[in-house]
Amino acid sequence: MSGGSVVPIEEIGNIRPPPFVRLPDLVTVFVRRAERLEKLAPGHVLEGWLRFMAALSRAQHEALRRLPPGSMPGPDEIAAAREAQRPALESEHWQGDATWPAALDEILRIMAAVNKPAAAEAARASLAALDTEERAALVSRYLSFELGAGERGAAPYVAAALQLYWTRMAALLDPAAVGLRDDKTACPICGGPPVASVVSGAEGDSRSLRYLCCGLCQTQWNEVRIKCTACGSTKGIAYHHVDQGGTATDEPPARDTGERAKNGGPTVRAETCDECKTYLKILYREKDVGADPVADDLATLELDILASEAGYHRTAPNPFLILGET
Amino acid sequence: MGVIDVTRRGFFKFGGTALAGSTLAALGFDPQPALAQVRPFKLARTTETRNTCPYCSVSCGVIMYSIGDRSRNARSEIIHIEGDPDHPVNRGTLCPKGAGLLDFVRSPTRTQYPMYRGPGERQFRRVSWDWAMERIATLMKEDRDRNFIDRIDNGTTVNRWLSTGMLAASATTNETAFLTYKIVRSMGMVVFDNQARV
Repeated sequence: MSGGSVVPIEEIGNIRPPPFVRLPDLVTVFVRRAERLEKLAPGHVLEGWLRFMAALSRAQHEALRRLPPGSMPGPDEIAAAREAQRPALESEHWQGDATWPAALDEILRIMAAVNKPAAAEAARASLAALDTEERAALVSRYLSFELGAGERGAAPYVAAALQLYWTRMAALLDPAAVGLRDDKTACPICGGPPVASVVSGAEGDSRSLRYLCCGLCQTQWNEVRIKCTACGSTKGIAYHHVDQGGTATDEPPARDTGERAKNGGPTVRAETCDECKTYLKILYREKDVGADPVADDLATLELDILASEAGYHRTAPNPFLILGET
Repeated sequence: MGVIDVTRRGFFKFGGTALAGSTLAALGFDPQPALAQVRPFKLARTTETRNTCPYCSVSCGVIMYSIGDRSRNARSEIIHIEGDPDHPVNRGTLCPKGAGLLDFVRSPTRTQYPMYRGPGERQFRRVSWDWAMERIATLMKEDRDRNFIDRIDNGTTVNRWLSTGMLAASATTNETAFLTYKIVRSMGMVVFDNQARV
């Protein structure tokens, strides 16, 4: 029975509330993502794409080590943001410093040697040829979702550089200085939308708490489970996964398979809301400790396709997968 | 200008056209195999539902996982129960009784309908809810008519019924508890306790 963990007797009655934010760990965040993508790639229908994304994550990890010193908001600015319930590193007021162009250059340099389709190399080369102003304009278009049809190939490189810029700032923040925000639909650190939910406790905490994961600064923030992350409804929430057998899904399995259905079930489900007809993926780390919100999201495109066909709209995209006009 | 401006962009919908114009295709990867692969696949639905452990007055929160789609009149079944990590009382923990709730739900000896064993009979037999309610009401009325005390010796009005008691359930809302109290006390019943004290 996996109804919970065994709690030491001195802790009974003293279980602490969960931390509101978990800031990213720069040492592991990108390299673990790369390892995850490399693990998911073999035999996957989009193997080439996942391998490319694994290489890009590795490039991020490498580039991190050669990043020049950046700028951070001071204690007064962080306190003011907290007072106003605004994110401390709000991406709406994007100004940037020397960090992100350096990150982009480094990523483009490393990616030059990576085996990839001609179109991916062409997108890389044309991005490398842009001058500072053109790049800044491209970032603005990316952040405001106005990338032209011919520019979508640049999106993963730009996203990778912006992730480095924001993730490092987020990692250097003091979690105690970050205020708890009432608005849980956006990242409390940078204001970005969540790319997915993960269900898992902090290190050494086996509780199945839900954390929303920011696609930009990699911060995770706590939100209660069984609740729509877009409209806040607790009614009409369901969890959908892909049934590859194509068998009837209404028939429950034999009784004795119940535990398997829970513990051996899919790692990734779509948390759908019938009130606002949206979904966001939710990853159960208890089933696979290596699950990564960005990597596992990219590797479960079939779930997006089926959820879309069922009439659910995704609330926010993966930063690396910008869709064309529909 | 947000990082990803949902209000301007609208919500995101995956399909052949959207993927053909996506980053994936722009980088030279073909999304068609992914679209084709999905054809035989189906969406399977599970639900997670909050509830309260029925055992004691601590009222720990639980999450019940079930499969099947009730909205389509399909048979659904609970497949797992665990402590609710968001519940302020137990924060995801459960005692051994609560941790065994799934076995309680599925127990073959679980009482699922009223059973009756008359005086001198050897075995319980299944009866209808109506029959059981009727029987309980009749016995309560008979006992109350026989033993109700409206006045004691010195003439003080007491209106009490001491020969029948009631044991109520633990996992109730304030409203249910209020109504239970009103119903029981209005009949003059004094012996009234709650299963929560077990």
